[in-house]
Amino acid sequence: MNFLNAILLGGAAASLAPLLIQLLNRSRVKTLPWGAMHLLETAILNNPRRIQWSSLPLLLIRCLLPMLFALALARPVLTHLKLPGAQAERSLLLMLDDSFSMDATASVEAPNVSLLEQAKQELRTLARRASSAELSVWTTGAQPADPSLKSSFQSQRIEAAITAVPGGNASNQPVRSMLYGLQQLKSMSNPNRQLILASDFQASDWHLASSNLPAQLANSDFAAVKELLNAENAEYQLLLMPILPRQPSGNLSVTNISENLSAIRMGESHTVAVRVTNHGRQTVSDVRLIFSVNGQELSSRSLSLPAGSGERVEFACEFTQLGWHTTAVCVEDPSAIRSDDCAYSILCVTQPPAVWLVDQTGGQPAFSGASRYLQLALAPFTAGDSQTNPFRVRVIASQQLTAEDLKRIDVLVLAGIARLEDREAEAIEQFVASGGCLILFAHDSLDTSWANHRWSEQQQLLPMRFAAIHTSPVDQPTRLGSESLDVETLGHLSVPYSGLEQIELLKWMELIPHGGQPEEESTVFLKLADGQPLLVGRKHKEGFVVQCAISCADDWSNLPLRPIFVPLMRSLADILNDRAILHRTLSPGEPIELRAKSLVKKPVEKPVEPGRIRLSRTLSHSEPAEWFEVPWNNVRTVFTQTWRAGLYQIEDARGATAADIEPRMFIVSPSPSESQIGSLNRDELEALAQKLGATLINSAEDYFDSEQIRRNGQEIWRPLLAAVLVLLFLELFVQQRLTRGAT
Amino acid sequence: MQPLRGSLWISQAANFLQSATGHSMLTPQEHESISKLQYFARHVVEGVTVGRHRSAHKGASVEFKEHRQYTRGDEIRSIDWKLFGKTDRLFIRQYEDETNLRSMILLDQSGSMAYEGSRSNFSKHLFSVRLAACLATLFIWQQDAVGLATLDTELREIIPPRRKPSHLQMIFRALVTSKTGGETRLSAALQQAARQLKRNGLLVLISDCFDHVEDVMTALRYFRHTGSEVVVFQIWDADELDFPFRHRTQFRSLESASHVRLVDPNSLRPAYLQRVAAFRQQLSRATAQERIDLVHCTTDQDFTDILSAYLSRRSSLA
Repeated sequence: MNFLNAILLGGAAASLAPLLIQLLNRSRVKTLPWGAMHLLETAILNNPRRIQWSSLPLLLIRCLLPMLFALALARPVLTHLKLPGAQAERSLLLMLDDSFSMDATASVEAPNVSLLEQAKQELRTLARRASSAELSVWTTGAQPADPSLKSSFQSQRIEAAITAVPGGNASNQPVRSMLYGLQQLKSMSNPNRQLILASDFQASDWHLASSNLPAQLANSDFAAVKELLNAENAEYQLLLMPILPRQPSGNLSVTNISENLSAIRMGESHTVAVRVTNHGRQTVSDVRLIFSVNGQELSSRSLSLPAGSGERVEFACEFTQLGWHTTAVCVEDPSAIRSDDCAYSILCVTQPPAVWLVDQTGGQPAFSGASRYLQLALAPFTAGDSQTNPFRVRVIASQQLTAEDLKRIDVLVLAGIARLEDREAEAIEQFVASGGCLILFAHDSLDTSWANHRWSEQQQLLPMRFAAIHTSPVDQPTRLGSESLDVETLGHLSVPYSGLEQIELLKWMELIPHGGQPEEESTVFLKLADGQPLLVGRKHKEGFVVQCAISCADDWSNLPLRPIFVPLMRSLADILNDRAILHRTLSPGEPIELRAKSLVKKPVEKPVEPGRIRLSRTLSHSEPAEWFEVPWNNVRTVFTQTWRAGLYQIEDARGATAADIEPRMFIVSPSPSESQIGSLNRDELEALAQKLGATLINSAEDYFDSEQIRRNGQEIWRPLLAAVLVLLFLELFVQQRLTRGAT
Repeated sequence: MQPLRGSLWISQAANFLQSATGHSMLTPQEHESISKLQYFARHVVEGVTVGRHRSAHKGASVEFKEHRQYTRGDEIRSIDWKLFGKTDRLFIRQYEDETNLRSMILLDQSGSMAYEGSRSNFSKHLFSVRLAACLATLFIWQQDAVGLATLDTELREIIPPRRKPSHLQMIFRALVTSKTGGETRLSAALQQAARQLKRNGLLVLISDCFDHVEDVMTALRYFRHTGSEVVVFQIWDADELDFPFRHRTQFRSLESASHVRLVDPNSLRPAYLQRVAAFRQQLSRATAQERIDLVHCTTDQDFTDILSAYLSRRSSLA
């Protein structure tokens, strides 16, 4: 134990004063003539020892009082609480929870101060006061707050980086962020390494459904964090700083639950369905939802939501112009968390895609050859290029295939070919490589050795290799099972009366994986009950190839005669046509590839800097857009700043070859779990800290207090002063007791 | 005339005795004290006796009360011969009896009676003197004979009971001149008094009774056996009852200067109070057993209250 003001310990001598006073009092005795001596004598005989002991506690208290007071003034420090190595310089990694749940207000008294601002304030204080420490700032999006600033000894730069964190991150990965942060700490120079996480500790982020930590926390990231922290020679210290709202606030969220359609035809009626959820504890009445298309308000609706309930709301619209359109359903008055107040969707109104069927088996008359059923399914009405048909279908011979012609079409179907000339095959390979879609059906006349050699072994174009032909007896045909369809892509076809179980196969070609190629890259759209693939698709370069193990004619199976054939083929064609635009709804943080491809042409109106693309992010119509600039090399680039929810649009570009960069717009949807506001309670936080081997701190001030103890030991003048106060009351009490006894 | 002459003779004899035993004549201060005492006693007794009636005893007096039938053994002279002439039956005339109560006040003037507490205006002895004066006045006003005896280690002064109002002067003078001192030997002094006071009557003991209860009761029991009625006024100072002292105190005995005790009152208080309670209880039980009237008095009490309470009790007993 050390004393900061050791000289004041001399004050402890004052404890002798009560003793001296007592002794003086003892020597100053009053003499009293007394009559009832015989009664006094008897009392003395019966009670000889109490004369000496009754006033001792009071004397003891009075002696202790000045002694403890002097001790408190001397500011004693318990040095055994000092940690070895705590004196060393620090490397501090400040981790800021920038998820959109931090947009909630900290308290009712200060509605303009969000939890994020409060957390920033605490971290700025930490950065400012942590002199000579090496500092780094990360967000819980598992990335540095400022990618150009890994770490710094200049607290001003760190403070600026903290201030610049925009917040509203739609994805929150605190455990992974901690793992990355600890790895970053390892590369920092000072030996005393600490990671401080300022967060609202949403239960959903920590996978906490109840007060107990469930097994989900034992994931690999969590285990890695624990391993790093609990290692014997652990150099890290993890500190958790909960930034919690004083009162739980409510929140409204709007989630898009529309059918996953990206491309629709002109004139088709389209329904946008959203789910509005009240996450608060009170009923919300007269919530006005605004439905807008391309930023223009189209309609609105009011509804009331009881606490904790949700309601499906639908808006219908119709598009009369080709091209990309955005729809938005927003809550008119912003709720506690603004990032989930709007649900966007992007739609592409297109002309019917151009599909060419290459059939060497058919003749000139219509409805003949292997592709006849396919032609009927895709263009049932009149001639192939009629606007009323969903697809513009044309049947051609393989000799007509040229690379130049193929640039005009979307999907190429090889329905009944034996083998192709090298020129034709090259044209098709070029078509696929540049983003075209190819469907290859098996057929009796198909030269599988050629196909395997050229498109499996040489070009790796096909998802799988063709193998032997399997046959079934006519009286015992092979049937498809109820789980034959790929749920993700064709699940909507798996409905009763679709005729899936009535499909009978007499013949099919076995598809086997390529040697040494992982099978995961292929998507099995249709399979037999025993798992044998019948319809397999795979991305090849910029394009997509679908391989079918059966013929599209009725000589191998009765599939063309079954009701499911038409929707199956149309869906397949749609999937291939929409392939490039399927992934316009991104998860937060998911990078998106911007590339030059003329799906929709739109002339650039404003000249901008060459080699740059400007993107805007719109969260809601009531907020200003955020702007990004991305370097552009005329071919492709990857945009990675997709952490915040909203609608991202390419506003203008320069240096682009055709000024049409795909995708021109995309959506980042927030994680629905973040909308459910609910922080861990104190017990859960302590359980989490215990599980992680972390320390809970309440504020920056708290941090420096604990650091003071770690570095110098614990000052104990406060408890001593409290003891003095207690003794004062005790002295009063004892004195009162003695006085009461005297009277 | 006889009684007058007798009382005059006794008064003169007392004065002679006083001068013979070396007592000086009364000083002016003592005269003044007597006057004050007399005034005080009269004032108190007047207050006490307002509305009270005369003695309920029947006996020899001039005031006829009633007739009763003659029984054998009655005095012949009491027969109402006129009534015999009218009724041919023997009746005895009965008259209002003049009280023949002989009261003797025994005043304890031992050293312990000199204690004067912090909360009362006078010592236990002075309180006892005033109480004795009041009682003597009361008795004389009731036409009872009253006497006084002072005692400490032994019987000091005896004034025989007389009924005359002028007798009060002698009693007052004895009271005024009484001085405290000496060790308490109440039992011995009482036994001495019992030997000298032959006639029965009312014996009033004014004392703190700081002696062995058994010894005191032995002496008092003698009076009871001789047919005397005994009343004990036990005098306490409030300090003796609650022991209010806080600081360390050296208690010096009022009866023996060498007897000194240094104690911490705070720690001793419970035991002392317990002892006082036990002493009072023992005395109460013993007096009740002997049918002795015990009146507890503290020096801060009002005399009127004490006498009223005492008289009420006596009335209820009668």
